[in-house]
Amino acid sequence: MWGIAGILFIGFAVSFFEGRRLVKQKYWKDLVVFSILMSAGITLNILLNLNVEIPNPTATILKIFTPFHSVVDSILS
Amino acid sequence: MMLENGKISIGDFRIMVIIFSIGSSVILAPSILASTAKQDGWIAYFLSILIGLGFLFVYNRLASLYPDLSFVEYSQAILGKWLGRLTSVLFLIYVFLVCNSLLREIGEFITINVLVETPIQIIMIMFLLASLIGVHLGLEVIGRTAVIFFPWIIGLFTLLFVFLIPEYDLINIQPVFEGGIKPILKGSYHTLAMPFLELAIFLMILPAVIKKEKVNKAFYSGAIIGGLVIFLLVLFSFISLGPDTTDRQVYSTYLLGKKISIGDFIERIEIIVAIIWFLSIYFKLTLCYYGLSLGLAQLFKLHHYQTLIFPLAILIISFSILQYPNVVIFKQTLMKALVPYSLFICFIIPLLLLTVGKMKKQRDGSYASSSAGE
Repeated sequence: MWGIAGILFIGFAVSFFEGRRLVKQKYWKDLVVFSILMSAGITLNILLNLNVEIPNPTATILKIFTPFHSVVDSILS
Repeated sequence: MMLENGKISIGDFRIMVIIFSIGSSVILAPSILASTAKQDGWIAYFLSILIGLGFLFVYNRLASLYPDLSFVEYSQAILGKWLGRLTSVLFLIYVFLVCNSLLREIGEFITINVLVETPIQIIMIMFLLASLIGVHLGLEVIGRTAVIFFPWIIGLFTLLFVFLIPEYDLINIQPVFEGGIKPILKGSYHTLAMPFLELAIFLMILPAVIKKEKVNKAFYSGAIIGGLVIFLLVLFSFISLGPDTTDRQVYSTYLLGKKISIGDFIERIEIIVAIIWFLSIYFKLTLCYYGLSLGLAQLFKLHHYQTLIFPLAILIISFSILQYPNVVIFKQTLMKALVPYSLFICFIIPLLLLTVGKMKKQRDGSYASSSAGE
């Protein structure tokens, strides 16, 4: 609970100050990329706090590259 | 328009390469080598330094094709807009995953050895905040800080090696070549990724170096010095602990520090190992983080890369928790997937870019050489 409150507070505080600067300088593209990354980060953090099952990137990498590893392993042993 | 106006000198660059290649290998290399190559691990590491120079050759040639552009920029110039962007995205995902692993490693180390009761998140947030300040201030500041802390790293290494002299026993690394050549090759295969393939991240930093004609030499010499430091560390930890003990420990270098005991006077100074590691991994993390934010900003053609560092910090923290649910998966990734994945991203893709770039340059000869200098 405190984790979610904390991340929301930090996220909104940073977005407020950074967003105000970007709007003032009229960097619209920067603003779009910033908000996409920021909302992705905050969402992910809240999901992690709620213990929701999220697909793990490491598992995918392991699945892709383990066959290659087994080939090398069989050559070298 | 340049995203990064800071310039670093050749010396700063060389020191950054040295610290980067010391990086996380300080803790991980001895146990990986002990589990794969047994007592011949030090030969295996020497071999992997030699192979690593081959990778550096590719990076240097690639960087000298477009001396003023970074990886993300020239991949679009070489492969065209969309294929180049795809390549850059693959590269940036790799850098992102490296960032997460580095942060997780340091968090795990501190929670296991130093601050046992503190939640790992707090430690990672603190560490990443320090890194964030570095990235916010830019490459020039990171380079100068590296110069300040470099003597400390080397000094503490010397202290460690000297204090360990009473523990040295050559019987621990005998018999040499017991298992033939295959375990040695296996050991060097497993240590290729950790310092040498990850040096591809410097392709993002190379355009900021002044005196381009000397940069190749600095890159080679930095990687050789960093590699030799780790080589000595591996050799000495094998000589004083023996390969079996090194294999069994998660943090064998830390145990090496605990072994120091000189005349009941200098005891338990293992924290010098921890300090070496904090410093070197801080710079490695900061450089990866910097490369990541700069690369993303160049990919989307933004005005400042500093805009992206806060959202990236939140993403890095959450992914470093998410990526490794437990130590077993971390070890598995380290042993099975890291080397092939790094070979694909940091060797095959640059090699492809180099070949296509070379062909492109030859085809439109004089035009390319004039436009590259812009």
